[in-house]
Formats: sequence, C-alpha cells, structure tokens
Amino acid sequence: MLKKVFKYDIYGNMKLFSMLYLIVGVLFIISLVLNQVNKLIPEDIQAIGLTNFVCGLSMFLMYFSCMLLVGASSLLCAVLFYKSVATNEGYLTHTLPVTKKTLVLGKSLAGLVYCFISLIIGFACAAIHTAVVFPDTFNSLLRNLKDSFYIATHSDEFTPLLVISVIIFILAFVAQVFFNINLYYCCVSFGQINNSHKIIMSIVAYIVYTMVIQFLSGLISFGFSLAISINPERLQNFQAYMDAHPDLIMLIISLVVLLFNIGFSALAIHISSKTLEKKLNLQ
Amino acid sequence: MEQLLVSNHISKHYGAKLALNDVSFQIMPGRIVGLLGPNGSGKTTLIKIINSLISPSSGEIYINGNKPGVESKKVVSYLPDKTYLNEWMTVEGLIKMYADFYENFNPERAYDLLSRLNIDPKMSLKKLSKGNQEKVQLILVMSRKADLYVLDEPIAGVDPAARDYILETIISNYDRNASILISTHLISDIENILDDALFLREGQIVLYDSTDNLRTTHQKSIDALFREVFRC
Repeated sequence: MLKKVFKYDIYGNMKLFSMLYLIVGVLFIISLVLNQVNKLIPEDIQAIGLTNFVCGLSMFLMYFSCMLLVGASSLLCAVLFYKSVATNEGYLTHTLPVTKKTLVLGKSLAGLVYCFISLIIGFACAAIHTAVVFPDTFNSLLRNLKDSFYIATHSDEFTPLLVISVIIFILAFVAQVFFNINLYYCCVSFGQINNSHKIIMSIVAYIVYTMVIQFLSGLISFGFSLAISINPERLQNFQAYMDAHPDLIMLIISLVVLLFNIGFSALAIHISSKTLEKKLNLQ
Repeated sequence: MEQLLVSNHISKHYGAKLALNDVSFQIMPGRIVGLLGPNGSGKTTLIKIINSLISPSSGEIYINGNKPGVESKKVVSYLPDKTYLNEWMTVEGLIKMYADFYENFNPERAYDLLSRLNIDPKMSLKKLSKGNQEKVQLILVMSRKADLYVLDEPIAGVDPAARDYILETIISNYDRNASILISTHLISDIENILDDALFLREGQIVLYDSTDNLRTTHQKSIDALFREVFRC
C-alpha cells in the first residue's frame, strides 16, 4: 500500500510541479535568448540601457525562480499535504484502506522526490545559464572544483573512510530534506486539530517544534562540549585526535546528523499519524 | 444472518455539544436503510464515525465484526456530501486509483456508467461541471462491490432529473447482498426504495423499524411520519 500511496501522490501533484518546472524552464530560455540577442545589439543602442535592463530583469527572474523552486518545494509539499488531509480531499484520503502511518510515509517520500527534482532542475538551470552567459566565471568555478577534487583524491588524506564519510554526508543531506518535509507535515497534522484556525495553528506548531528541536540540539551540543572541556587534558586529547583523524571526525559528524534526522523524521511521522488518527477536522 | 453493522451506545461530543447520544442500532445485510433527520440531527457525525473519519467519545461500532479502520474501509463504500476528489486528476486516473486501492472496485462498470453519461474519461475533473463531478463521485462509489454503501445526502441540492439518475444508479448497481445507509431529508424521493428507516433527532434515535412496519403502525407514509416527528 505504501507504494500505491507514493505513486498516487506523485501522480496527483505532478501537474502542479510540472507547471512550476515549465515556468522556470520558460524563464530560463527567455533569459538565455535575451542575453544572446543583447550581445548582437550595437553598443550605441546598448548604451541607452533599456536592453541591459530587460536582460538584467530576465536574469534576476530566472535566478530568483530557481532559488524559489529549490527553497520552497518542501513548503509546497506541505500545502499539498494540507489540501490532501485537512480539506475536502481528506474524505478520500482518509477512507483509503491504509494506515495513517503508511499514508504519511508515502506522502513524505513523494515530497522527497519532488524536492530533489526541484533541486536538480533549479541548479541545472542556474549552472547552464551561468555557463552560457558568464563563461569565464563558470570556467573559473569549474576549475576550482576540479582542483579541490584533485587535491582531495590525490592527497594522503584520501582514504576509504573519507569516501564513506562523503556517502554518509550525502545521505545525511537527504535525511535532512526528508525531516524538513516531515516536520511540515507534522505541523499541518497538528494545526488541523483547530477547526477554525488550521493554518495559523500549523505555523504556531512549526515555531514550537523548531524551538524544541533547537533546544534539544543545543542541549546535546552543550552537554558534549561540557563533558570534554571539564577536563583540559581530555580536551587536548580530543583536539589532537581531531587533527590526526579528520576523515573519522567527518564520518562521525555525518553519521550523527544522519541518525538524528532519521530519528526526528520517524518521530515526526509518528506524531503526524497519531494526530490524524486521534482527531480529524475536514471541511 | 449476522449483522453487517452494529452500533453499541455511541456518543459523540464536540466540546460541550452532544452530537450523538447513546445511539444503538444494527444493520442486517441486504437492507436499504434511510438515515433520516433534519439538519444538525447527527446524521453526518454518525456517518463519519462509520467511516473512521472521527472517533466516538464513547461506545463502539463494528462493521463485519471489525472496528472502523483499515479492514472496515475495504468493505465500506462512502459517498460524502461534498466534492472531494483531486481536481487535477483525470477521470481515468481516478478509476485507476480506485482499482488500485480497492480490490472490490470494478473498472468496467465505472467506464460503462461514464459512457452512458457521455463523460470522457480522459478529461480532468476540473473541466467537468459540478453536476458531472458529483456523478463521477457516485459512479466511483457505486462501482465497488462493497458490503456497505454509505451515502451522505446524495440527492441534496440537485435537480429532479439528476435525482432520478442518482437513485437509479444506486439501485441498479449495488450488490443485493450489500446494504445501503442513505442519509437524506428529502424523504419522498427515496421512500419507495427504503427497507428500513432510522429517525435521528438531536443525536438520538427516535424511530428505527422497517418502512412497512412504520407505515402500518402509524398509518402514514414515511414522508408524512417524518413531517410529524420533526414538526417545528
């Protein structure tokens, strides 16, 4: 059933996301064409400034839409989740023969897919645009990236542990995005309890949850720092160990971030499903 | 014969307001039951409890021996009193979705009913008129071979011709071993198809019997009895 929930959430939200991708694509093409055309315009006409203004505006809109696409996709997923579970659509969503946990998990996974598609499209558009319009800047960026990669892969510090750390780091990033989506879903599930102020309550829930998470993270960091710094010798040993094994430290940090995000995601899914099971306020 | 639905002393509070008060009744298989009452009598609350959309404050309800949940949702086909489908989806997509989620869904029946209405399955719901959207919802619900059909105000707010179509679709498509719980306050339109009538007032059952018994006992039509019981 999880596969079905995932499939139909992908399908149900496809049109909206496709439209957004289309808008970004159109802005990308317009900006590219305008910039290429601008290069052909004689300098005396360019000097008037109108063509440069139009090009600049199209470029701003293109980069802005890319940023918005990347940044707001998880928020859009939350809006679609709200529509699906707390409005009239909920009459279908909640009468499907699936558990609430499966429902929330399926929708979170679909959200994760859309967030990554948005990320890829947003970055690809920005990168291609930069490569065409500002080739020197792009080449310099690329050269720096290549050099960094070369140094990393050809230095003594390049160990299998570093490769594993990078993989764990990427997984931790994926888990972070997944947690973000689930945090939004959790807030929506909690917010819909209040029938007359569903959206406001969702925002309040988001602020409260974020504060709790910040507090817990701060508490753990503080406890860890205190445990080390209370003994100066231990602190020195720890710093020496960090300097000697940067790959291991990176692995541990990535692993902790990954586990935290998986743990928080599981907790958020649990809270969402239990809240939806306990109380539903459909329109 | 085993009861299809058993409600034991169901009560539901919304804050201080008591929406259902100690409601107990049973529905046997193969019956068409009218859930009758004025607005605010608790019909929709009862229907939501049956469909696991809300939990009762006290009491228990069983459908085929199961409490409302995943198992009961497999055998209950529910038509809410609202348009509830994702407007971005095509009718065809919705049929596939229903077929995927409900093992008892019959896509052929759905396509057949759609063709009779000349509704193009490739159209998205957004492009259909509100009336046709409601008909698509009804078709999806009635294309399931469910044990219990729960229809919340299916004929409210529609013209007499559409009303006839809706009732005909319900009657000609439900499984004879299945039961239908149909809520309405338009009694005269459905009186002839009802086997049983359950009168609900202020969250309490005031009458529950077969329509034949009610007519004989009270020497009145169900519509006339409704007007008498719920006179303002």
